This record gives sequence, structure tokens and C-alpha cells, in this order.
Amino acid sequence: MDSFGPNEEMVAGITNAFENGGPLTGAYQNFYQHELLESSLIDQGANYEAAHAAALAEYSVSPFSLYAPEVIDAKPALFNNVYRLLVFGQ
Amino acid sequence: MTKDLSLGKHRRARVWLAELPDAQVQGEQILTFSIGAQGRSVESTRQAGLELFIPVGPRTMYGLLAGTLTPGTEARLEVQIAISERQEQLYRETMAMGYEHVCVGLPYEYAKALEQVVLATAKQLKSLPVGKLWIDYAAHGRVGSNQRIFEHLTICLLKLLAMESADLSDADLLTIFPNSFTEAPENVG
Repeated sequence: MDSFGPNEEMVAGITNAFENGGPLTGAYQNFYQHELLESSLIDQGANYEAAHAAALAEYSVSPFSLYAPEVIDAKPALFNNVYRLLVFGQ
Repeated sequence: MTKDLSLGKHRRARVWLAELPDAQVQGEQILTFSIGAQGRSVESTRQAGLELFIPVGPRTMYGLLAGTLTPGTEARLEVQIAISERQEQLYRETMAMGYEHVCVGLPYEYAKALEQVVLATAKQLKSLPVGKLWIDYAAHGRVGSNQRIFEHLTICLLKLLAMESADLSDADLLTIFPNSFTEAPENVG
């Protein structure tokens, strides 16, 4: 897949939390769980779309809840006004 | 003619040539601008469209854009873009993810991105066609659309409309797409 700056920022946040012994919460937890399950399903033979949908359904996570507010705020060209409305109320 | 193309890495595109998708924007406003163009004028009216499905991990970038290029006499590209902020009808033939809510229309945030990317990349686009471009077919996803995907849709659509042959192979069509859809078009050529 194309590299995607927000993914790298989420991974950096997750790595930082692990290194500092802190718990994963909010979007960082959602992102981590989603990616683990999605990649596992793809490894088992699922196609990307099925694996992606299954990972969202498994954790009952909205697709809008996979990126942290600070990541959304930092990349305005990569997140739309619906994200901004839902995350920041603007 | 409609063609579905695999762009690798789970990325897909649908291309309309000499026809338009069933996604006409009922524009509430028109954004108009023009820019000097170095390409040739088309000899007759051309229609084309593109739909992109670009997975990037836990997110999938999505958008659809189409329009009509008519001949012009001055060395300029005149662009008109139909803007629609309200939710229009669902676009049901979409290639987007099943959970995606895809509506016909082009909100201002994407229309402005179209204008900005044309102005930013015009000098790099030696084939920027001369004429009048009317962009009034579009669809966007509630989750997956963003300014960046519409920037790439715009540049790819301009390249498609500027292609000379009427009988384009899949290999020909693949030349309009960048290697990366997440970087700004001016950074990926």
C-alpha cells in the first residue's frame, strides 16, 4: 500500500506508549487492534476489503475512530470536513 | 466505454472514456478559473471520468470525478466546477467499501482543491490541454474522500482528456496514474 503519513504517526504514538509502559487508549487502541486483526485475516487468505470490514465489525469501531485527533488536525488534506465535525465539532 | 483497472497494492480505478458516469452534480455554485496552457486544443468535445479506490491501511481513499473538455482557441484552459454542499442521491455503482456512504456531489473543500492543484501543477503539465473544461460529475465518500484524492483525480482526469488516441489500451491508461496517491501531485509528478 501507499505509505500514509497518518499511519506512521499512529505507529509512532503506539510505539511510544509501549516503550513508556503506558496503556493504549482511544484511537491508538482502535488502530492497533484493527491493524493486527486485518493483517492476520489477510495472512489467512482474506482479501483486503473483507479483512478491513471484518476488523471494523469485530471491535465495533467506527471508521472515523481509527486516527487520533492530533493526527487528523495535522493533515488537513488527508481528512475531510466530516472527520473535523465529528472529532472537533467544527 | 468503461474500464476497470488494477493499480497494484489493492488499488483500483474505473475509467470512463467518451461517456460519463451517472453522477451529475446539481451544482448550487460554480467555481470558475482559467490558466495558461501549453498543450494542444482538442479537435472535438471529449468526455472522461475516473473513480479511485486507494487503500492506505485502516483507511481507504475514495473519489469520483468526470467532466467534458471542449475546444478552445486561446492558449488557456478555462475551468468550471459545479459545487454542491448538500447530500445528493447515493451513487450506487461505486467501487468504495461497503460501509462507505457515497453521494453524488462535490463539496467546496474538494472543489477548491481542484482549483489549487491545477494552479500548482500547470507548469509541470506540458500536456495541459487548451479549451474549456466543465467538471460537473463527481461523487464522494463520507469516510474515504479527502482533498488529496481529489487533487489526484483532477490531474489524472486532465491527463486522460489530453490523450490523443481514441483507442487507448490498459497500458496507455495506466500511464496517467502516479506511483503514490498520498503525496501531493506536485511531489510525485
